Amino acid sequence: MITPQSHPAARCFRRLLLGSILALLLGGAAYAAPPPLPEVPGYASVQLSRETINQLETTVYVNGHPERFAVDTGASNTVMNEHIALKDGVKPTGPDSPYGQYQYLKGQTLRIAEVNDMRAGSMDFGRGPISLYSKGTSDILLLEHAQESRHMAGLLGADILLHYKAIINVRTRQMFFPIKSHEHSKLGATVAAMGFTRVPLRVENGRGFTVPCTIGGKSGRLFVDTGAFTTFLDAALASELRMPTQRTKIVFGGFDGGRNEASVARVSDLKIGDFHLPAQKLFILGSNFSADISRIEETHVFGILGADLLAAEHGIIDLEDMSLYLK
Amino acid sequence: MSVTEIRLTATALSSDGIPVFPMSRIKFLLFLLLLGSCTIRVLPAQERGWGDTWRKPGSAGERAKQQRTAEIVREVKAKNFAAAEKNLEAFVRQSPNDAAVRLWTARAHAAMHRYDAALRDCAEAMRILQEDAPAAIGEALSVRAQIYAAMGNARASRADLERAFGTNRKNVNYNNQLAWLLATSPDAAVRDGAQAVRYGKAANALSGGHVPAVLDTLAAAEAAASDFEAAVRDERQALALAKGDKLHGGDERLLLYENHQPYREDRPHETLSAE
Repeated sequence: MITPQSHPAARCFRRLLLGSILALLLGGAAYAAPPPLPEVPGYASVQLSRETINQLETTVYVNGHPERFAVDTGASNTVMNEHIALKDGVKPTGPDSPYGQYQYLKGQTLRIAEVNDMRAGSMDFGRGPISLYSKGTSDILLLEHAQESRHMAGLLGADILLHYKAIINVRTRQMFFPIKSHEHSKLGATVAAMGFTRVPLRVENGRGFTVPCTIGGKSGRLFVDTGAFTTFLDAALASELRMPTQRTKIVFGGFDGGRNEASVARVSDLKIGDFHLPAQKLFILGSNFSADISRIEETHVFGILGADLLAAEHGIIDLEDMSLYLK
Repeated sequence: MSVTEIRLTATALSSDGIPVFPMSRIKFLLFLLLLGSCTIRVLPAQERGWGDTWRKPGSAGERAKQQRTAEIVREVKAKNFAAAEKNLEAFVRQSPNDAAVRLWTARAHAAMHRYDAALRDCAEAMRILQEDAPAAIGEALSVRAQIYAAMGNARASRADLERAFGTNRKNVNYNNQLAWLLATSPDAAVRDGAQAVRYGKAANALSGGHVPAVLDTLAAAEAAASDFEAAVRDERQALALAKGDKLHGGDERLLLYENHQPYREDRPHETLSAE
């Protein structure tokens, strides 16, 4: 069957479209404050902002109510503050819901609810389930911390990002969602030609995204987490590789609710896929920085690739192509 | 534009994009619009949303795990223990360093009343967690406590639950399990109604006061502390929230509390569900 998509004019249009997307994705990298995001045919666009703790944020309309959300590839589900959600008309699910009524997450019971209408920028997410978080009863520290400092209502998690194949440019703070069926874009090839290195992303259990990495001749994986404001490596790995570390007075809140003293180490041979990271000091955290990451089968997780390095290395997380692009 | 409309547009165009229908472009567009709107009325357009992501396993590993655990659950329910055992061995071989898999196999062994094997699985899970994620050791202690309780060893169960609680006092599950054991244990030396109420109230507060299973536990604790009025109130609330769903034995317990009798559990049975 001949479809309009294969018409020569359509191909030309597609090239123009691709050019616009690339210009938006790549061109903005040179500017500290990108201009307001123009609309791109075939893609819905969402402007993000990066706040003081490297967090990518945006305004999400929940049943028509504007709320601030962090874009968090490290959160398996979209989560929202229970009080704000109920105020916005979000309804907790009943016993017949296909999503269940409660979610058991790291020892906490979260209520499940359904949003009727969710939008951000020019993207319409439609309706779907979210988890509700009550302040002081959960270990979702990122949200708690963000709520203390600003009016953060929730986390836009991997469920929505993966379902709608988000393309997140961490450096330029832009996010795109393909909204019309079209041939697969040549983003990968073009980006590679512009000096970007493609690293394949893998979806792990619990919708975590990881990339392959090597350090000190050892192979493992790093979590790609836009919700983590800094990158860090596992202390057990640092000790195994006999990395000289320096203690710091910095204490991180752990995912388990505990507190972890961080040290730093100079890392000169960290490779993410085929991308060599410049030598730099990275945080080293105790091996209990997460209670869940050891559950990745047959894989040694070396740590978390956070928003700081993703921004510094021009990271583009492409969930349409399941790739991370770095430069 | 709905999916149906796009398909109609495609079939109605020739290779150069010109409509094959003998009518003007404007008429053709009106025709499509009319046909499209008729189709939408007949076939409801698919609702836009991300709910599918919640219902489907996210990774290849999760899909394989879900299939295997569902298979094992079927074998255990059919009492085909030899097949289940083989499948469990393969499951562990596939993910030798996964503490969650070891804890699931422990539950499966307990459901087959193979408690020695279940305790070995727990010990292995603890070894893995101790190395990789010591903060999560409470999860393994909590599973082992359930196995001890199923074996009739309430004292060992209490010791493990208290250790688990020590790792995270804000964990709903540890509070809830402790409350249940202290309220319903057949061992009088383990039973402690007043303590059970404290743990039960903490679990209820931590879970927002609306989880049926937690309210069911709180009611059992209140009955153990001879506060039958509160027990009846909370059991009724638990049943109302659960709407008869997934609250095994709740009606019978309500009857006991109404008659000023506490609930005692002889030995809890391990119930197995797929991951």
